[in-house]
Amino acid sequence: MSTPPMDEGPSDELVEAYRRASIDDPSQPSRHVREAILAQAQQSARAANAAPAANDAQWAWRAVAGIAVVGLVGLLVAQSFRSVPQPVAPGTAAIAPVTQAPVGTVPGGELRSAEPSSTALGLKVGVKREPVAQGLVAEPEQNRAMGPGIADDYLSGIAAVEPRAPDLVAASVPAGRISGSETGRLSAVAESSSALRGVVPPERARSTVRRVVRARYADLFKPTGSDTVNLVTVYMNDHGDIDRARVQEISGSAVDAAALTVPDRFVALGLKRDEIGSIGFDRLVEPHGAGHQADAILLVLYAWPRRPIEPVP
Amino acid sequence: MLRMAESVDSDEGLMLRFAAGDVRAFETLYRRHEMKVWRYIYRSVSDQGAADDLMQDVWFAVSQAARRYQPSARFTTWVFTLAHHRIVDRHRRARVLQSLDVATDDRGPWVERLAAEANANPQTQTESAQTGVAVLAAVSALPREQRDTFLLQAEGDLSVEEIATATGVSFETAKSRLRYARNRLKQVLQEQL
Repeated sequence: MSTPPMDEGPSDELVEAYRRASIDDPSQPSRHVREAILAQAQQSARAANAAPAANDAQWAWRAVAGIAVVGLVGLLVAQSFRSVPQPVAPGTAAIAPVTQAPVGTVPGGELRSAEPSSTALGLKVGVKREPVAQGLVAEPEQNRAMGPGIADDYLSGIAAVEPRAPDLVAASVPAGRISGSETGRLSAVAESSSALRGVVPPERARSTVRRVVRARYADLFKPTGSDTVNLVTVYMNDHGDIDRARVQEISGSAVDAAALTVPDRFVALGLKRDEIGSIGFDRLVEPHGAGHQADAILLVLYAWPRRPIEPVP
Repeated sequence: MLRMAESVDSDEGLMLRFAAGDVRAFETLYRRHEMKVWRYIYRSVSDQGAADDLMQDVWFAVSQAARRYQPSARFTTWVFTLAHHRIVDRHRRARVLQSLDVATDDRGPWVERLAAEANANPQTQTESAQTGVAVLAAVSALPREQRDTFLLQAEGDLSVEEIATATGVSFETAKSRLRYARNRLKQVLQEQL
């Protein structure tokens, strides 16, 4: 394995001279370092003694059980990703809810969802129907029966698990004037994420954003059909409050959710990119708002603080 | 696997015993190599505090890696490789922090201290003490990579091939560095003594 040290065996006086000089040097590691090293070794030795032996039958069973659990979880995850967008024939339900969609977390009446089916909007958000989900498919009529809040949360559930929601919106919603019904659907699927998507933590629910925005900007709602609409860009904090916000009046005919849900909008608020987590777009509706015949709407673009597991957008 | 691993008193055998939970094996191993590793680190970084930190890091790594340890190489090669990598990391960090306009002197405080001790009492100014100071001063004055190579040989008793492995350079590069280091040391010592 090794070649002999270079030079010259017994005549290597240089190394010998160095070693003699080194031995005379009294420097040594500090006592606390020595103690820490030996303490760490004791800890490692204890851990080694506590570890199960490789021929321990219980250990083997635990390993098999662990593998089985991992496999089961993998199957469940794979199942959830099997859903793919499909063109939907006119007159049929465009959206099949995901069974684990949250229910009943949004105050009733917050968002009108009992509007014409998504096909009328050009939305092609389709989820492959699984037999198990058939009984839970929210046909338009059923949505109406459930009430607006519930239907919205069905859609929110889809947005939460659909990894490419913004792409779907961009592909299917041409820029143009948005009607009340269109934006209602739009808001449901436009929540995008620049980061890993998965289960949305309760404290980051869309309903939280709606509640705080509605409370603070109640006077910014404008009737549908107006030439302009107000857009509130809010950056939330981890406590579910608004950290910073910006209000813009934009043309009602040029709302493109996909173009809005970009990190640059939040960089303009003075944020660094690595502070920007999941981004969402929403539309709040005030049905027949005070003094208005038509519904009043407010567009909301929001972002949450980036979590460590999320990539920088 | 090395044949020496079969011996329970070899470094590798002690590591295997430690991996099995025998803390006394580690204590034996540590006492056997403590000062060699310490001197290698201390003469490389020239600072007691930094050397303490690195020493702790290296031996923590040894104890934590014990269960994965495979005696495919000599224990000394492995532990000096660990030490070398940590020293290099520290130099890199220091280089980033170092102001560019500050001239650096790698000569460690231990050289001045030894010289001061040797000169403190005329009666202690023996020839061997002066030689020792001169040797250590000459080692301290070597360029970093040459000094590192020389110390790996002198403290770790590593062969050129092992030095090349530990420092991540080719055999020829390691050999060349070692030759330069030794020639420079000889030259300095001849001038001073």
